[in-house]
This record gives sequence, C-alpha cells and structure tokens, in this order.
Amino acid sequence: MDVLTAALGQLFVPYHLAIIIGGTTVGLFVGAMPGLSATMALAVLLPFTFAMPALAGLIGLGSVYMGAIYGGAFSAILINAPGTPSSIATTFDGYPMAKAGRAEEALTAATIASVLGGLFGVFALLVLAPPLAAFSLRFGPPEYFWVAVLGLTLIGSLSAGSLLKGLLGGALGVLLSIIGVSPIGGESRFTYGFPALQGGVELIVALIGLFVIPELLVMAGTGIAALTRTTSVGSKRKGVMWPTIKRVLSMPGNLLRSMVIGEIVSVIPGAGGNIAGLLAYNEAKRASKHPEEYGKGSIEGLVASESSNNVTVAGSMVPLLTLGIPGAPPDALILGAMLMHGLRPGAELFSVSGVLTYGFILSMGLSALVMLPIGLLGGRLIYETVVRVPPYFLVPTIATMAILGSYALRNSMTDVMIMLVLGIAGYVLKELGFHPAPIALGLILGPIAETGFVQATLMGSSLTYPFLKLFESPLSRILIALSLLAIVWPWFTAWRHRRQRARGGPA
Amino acid sequence: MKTARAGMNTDALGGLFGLGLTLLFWFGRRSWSPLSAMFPNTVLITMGALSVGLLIQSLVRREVRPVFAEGNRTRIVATAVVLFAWIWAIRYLGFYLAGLVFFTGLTLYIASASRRLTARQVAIWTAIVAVELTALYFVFTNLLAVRLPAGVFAP
Repeated sequence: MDVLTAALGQLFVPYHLAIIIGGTTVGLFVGAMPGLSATMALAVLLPFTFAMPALAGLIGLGSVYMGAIYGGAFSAILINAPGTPSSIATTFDGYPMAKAGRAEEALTAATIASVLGGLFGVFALLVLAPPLAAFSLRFGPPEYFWVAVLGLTLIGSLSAGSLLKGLLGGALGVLLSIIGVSPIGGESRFTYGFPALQGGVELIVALIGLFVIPELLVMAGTGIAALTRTTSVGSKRKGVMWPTIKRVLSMPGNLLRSMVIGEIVSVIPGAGGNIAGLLAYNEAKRASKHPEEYGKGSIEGLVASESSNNVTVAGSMVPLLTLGIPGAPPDALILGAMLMHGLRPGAELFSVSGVLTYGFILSMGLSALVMLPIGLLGGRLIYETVVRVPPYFLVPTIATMAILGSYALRNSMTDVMIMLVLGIAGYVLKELGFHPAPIALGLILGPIAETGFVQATLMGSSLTYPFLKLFESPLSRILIALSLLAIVWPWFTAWRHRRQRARGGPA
Repeated sequence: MKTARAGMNTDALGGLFGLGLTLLFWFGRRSWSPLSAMFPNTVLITMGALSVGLLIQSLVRREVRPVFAEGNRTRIVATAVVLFAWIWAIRYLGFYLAGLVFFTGLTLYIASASRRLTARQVAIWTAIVAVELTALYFVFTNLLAVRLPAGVFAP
C-alpha cells in the first residue's frame, strides 16, 4: 500500500501530468489516422525516452499506447476505417450509427467504454497480475491453434446474410495471410515471382483496402459524403452526451463481459485487441435481446468492442511485466525502454523498483481518465471537420490518408498497390454480398492457426497420429468445447425462435 | 441515389470467384516441404469446397439481387482508374507532385458532377490541396520520420 501511495505521489507532479496529457493526445490523433499504428507512434517516441528519467519515459509510452488504441475508434466510426486493428469490430456498428446521424452518440459511447476498459485493465493488472501470468503460460501451440479456431467461429456472427459467403470470405482471409515466407518451413509461398510479396500482406494494409476503398468509391459514385446522408452539415443534436453516458452505464453486464474477455485475451501473448474486440462483439451479440440490431448501429456492439480493446493495453502488460513476454508489438517497444533503463521484468520489478512499476501502471489508469475530456473534445472536433468537408475534398483526402497509411508501415509502394487491389476486390465482393469482416478475421487468425497447427503436429511427432497432440491438454478441450458451442449456438437460437414463432409466442 | 438495375445471382458469381481464386492459388503451389505445404493445402481444399457449396446453393435457391446499384458506375470506375494511376505516378513524380496532380484532378472531377466549376474555384481549391499536402508531407517526413517517395525530380 505504501508503494502504491508513493507511486501515486510520483504521478501527481506537473511534469508527469503534462506527459500523460500530451502522450494521450498524441496517441489519440495517431490512432485516428488509418495506417498509423500504436507501434509506429511508440517506435518514433522511443529514442526520446532514452534521455528521460525511467518513469517519465514509461509514462509517455504508456499514455501514447492507451490514446492510440482508443483513437482508432474515431476513424472506425467516422469513415469506416479501423485506425488500428483493435477497432475492426467498432466499424460494424459505429459507422452505421454515424451514417444514421448518430456520430456524436457513437463517439461518446466509444469514449466512455474505452475509459472504463482502460481503468478495468489497470485494476486487473494491479490485482491479478501473478495468477494471470501463470494462466498465460499454459498456452502452447495446440492451445493457440484452438484459440484461432474459436476466433474463426465468429464468422457465423460476422457474416451478415449468407453463412457460406462468410466462411468463404474467412478462407480467403486465411489464404491471403499465407502469402509470403512460411513461418515454420521458411519457404516463399504464392509470391508468383514477385520478391516484394515475400513480406506478405500486412494486416493494416488489408484493413485500409477492404474497409476504406469501397466506401470511398461509393462516395465518389454518389457524390454524397456518407455522414451527410441523413444529417445536415453542422446539425447538432442537443443533449446527446449525458443520455449516451447513462445508456452505456446502463449495460453493466455487457461492459463487464467484454472487459473480462479483453483481459483474458490480452494476457495471451500474440492475441491482441483485434481478437478481443471481435470476441467481445460476438458474445455481446449472442447475449443480446436484440441481436438483429447488430451491424445496423447497435450501441451495445460498439460498447463491447471499445471496452474490450482498451482493456488489452494494460492487460498485455501482465505477461510483459511478470514474465518479460511482450504480447503485442507495442509491448516489445516498452520492454525495450525498460531494458534501456536497467529494469528487468519479474518479481523484482514489483518489489525493488515497486514505486516506478506501480507509477507506470497507475499512469495508464490516469491516461484512461484523461481520455474522457480529450476524447469528447477531440471527437467533436474531428467529427465537425469530417462532416463539414464536402465529398469532392473528402474522397481525395481519404485516398491520400489511405496511401500514406499503407506506405508508412514498411516504406513500401508494393503495400500501397496491395491496399488498392484489395480495396477494389473488396468493393466487388461487397456488392456480391461478402462482408469484409470475415476476410479481416481470416487474415488475423491465419498465422496464429498455422503456427499453432504445425508446431503442435511437430510436438506430436512421437505419436502414431501427430495431430492428436492438438486434443491432449485440458485447456485445448475447453477451447474445443467453446468452439463447438459457438458453432451450435446460432443454430440453436434460430431453432428456438422458429419454435416460439410456430407456437405464436414472442420471437 | 439508387437506380433500378438488372439483378444478378450473387451466389453463383461469388462461387465462381472463389473457385477461380482457389485454382489460381492451387496452381501457384511449388514443391514446398510438408511443414510449409500442410496448411495452404488444407485452406485451399476448404475454399474449393465452400465455393462449390455456394455454386450448388445458387442453383438450388436462386437468389437474384441488384448489384453495383449505388452511385454512378462510370464515376466509380473512373475513380478506381485514377487511384491506380496516382499510385503508379508516385514512383516517378514523388508523393508531393503526384498528390498535387491527382488530388486536384479527383477533386475537380467529383465536384464537376454536381456543379459548374469556375476558374476562381479551381485556383482556390488547388491552393487548398497544396496546403493540405504540404502539411501532411511535413508531418510524415519531419515528425514521424517516414521517408516519402521523392520521385525522379528529387535533387
């Protein structure tokens, strides 16, 4: 307790508070730009932290990370472009809300959910770090494979309309993830003689293409900006903020479930905010009394996605601070900063360097709180800007951002071309009834599934049937059961609805 | 801006697309080691089966719906072509110059669909595009340390 008090005391000095506010703001705007990831922001910031005191440097990195994951919601809601992969699920309901003239409501809901998610993550890190770290160690290749399979079962929920099309889209995403150098064998696959394809299809590049380009083409074709279809420029719906805050707080079950999912997913290294958001969205839809509203502007879906993905910022610090395992690329950069300052992950970090470590953890909580005013103000500013820009400026502006975002990841024009090709394909596929979400899901989970599958088969090479290794551990079996449940559940609910309708009861 | 346009059997088109892609990738395989081949083979077989399933569904439950119905098709195709040309031009003209040409061009093209353009408007908009591109160029090259393509005119 003394350590916590001392850590809090360290935080409330003007220098550290300024870093938290500045870092969160910078992170928010970086996250709001499609293609500029939290990793990139942290990588740019990292050299500056070397010259700073350890706590100040870590506070800066943590605040930018927190702000960036939240900032991804802005572009997801306003232009259907997930600013970071963590906000993929935010587009499903955030963008339809914005198109229906409810952008401010969506931004406010995303802000409140993100703040609560961020605070929950910090609380869990403070209280549950050791048991959660032990839990994360139980995940080996077979369990990773089943986590990916569990994730792929979400396709049933994400494929609006035809399940077959959703599954085909998911398979297409997995196939795209295979392009490039094989993670196990090390051979180039499906590069068709283009050395530039050896690097594979970068997730962010694919997301920009699949989500942004189709909207941009429609906007160019209609000559109408998506956000002005139902609302006049500059129209303000009075009193949106407080009712929205009340609405978000009136769904504690959804919030808690999504945050717990976010926490569990985030402690598993490699499974980041994108999987957390999608899983939480799926579970929220399954538990909802109005699942038919999902994908059409449901505030529940938006809250599920945003509350879970912001938990992962502090959540992914569990394996990092306790075991030295970075769960996501931004965590690796934070680990780098820690090592530069002579801090080694493990028990000593919480005892010998307790004030510093707890100061860093608490600073993330403070950053989550700071998101509230900055997010509400920044959100309004960005919203007003997007709504006021006429479509003939908005289309080329978004195209420029898409080009810059795709290029900046690896300084590669090939990535820009891949983005555009996928975007055009995404537009055609969307017209044919294929939603981009299952394709994105396949891209995310493909490498996890492949690595888990091949490594587990290698582990089981002493068995008569090596693939049986996949079914060996109790955790694998639990994940299999959950996957089966996820597959069966939509059929069961559909059957139940049909039966109720047949009996003349409420559907 | 929805217009009545002929419907298409999207299941059949989707199935054909999936099958075509499966064949493209199937014949794109090389003599990889079993470790590298195991997963792609599984995915391709699954994808082929799903595509065939979609084709069968298209025959059993024929569902015709309008496609490419939203917006002006010519303008959509033209925008796509402009985007390809823009990206191609960046290699030669660099980010800034290509952006100035294609950003301005796209702005004027889309705006011309809904209004008559005057020389004054064109001049003002070109200036706005130049300011916007300069700001983006500055942020990316100086603040984010991203080396943007300079093109053949770079010193």
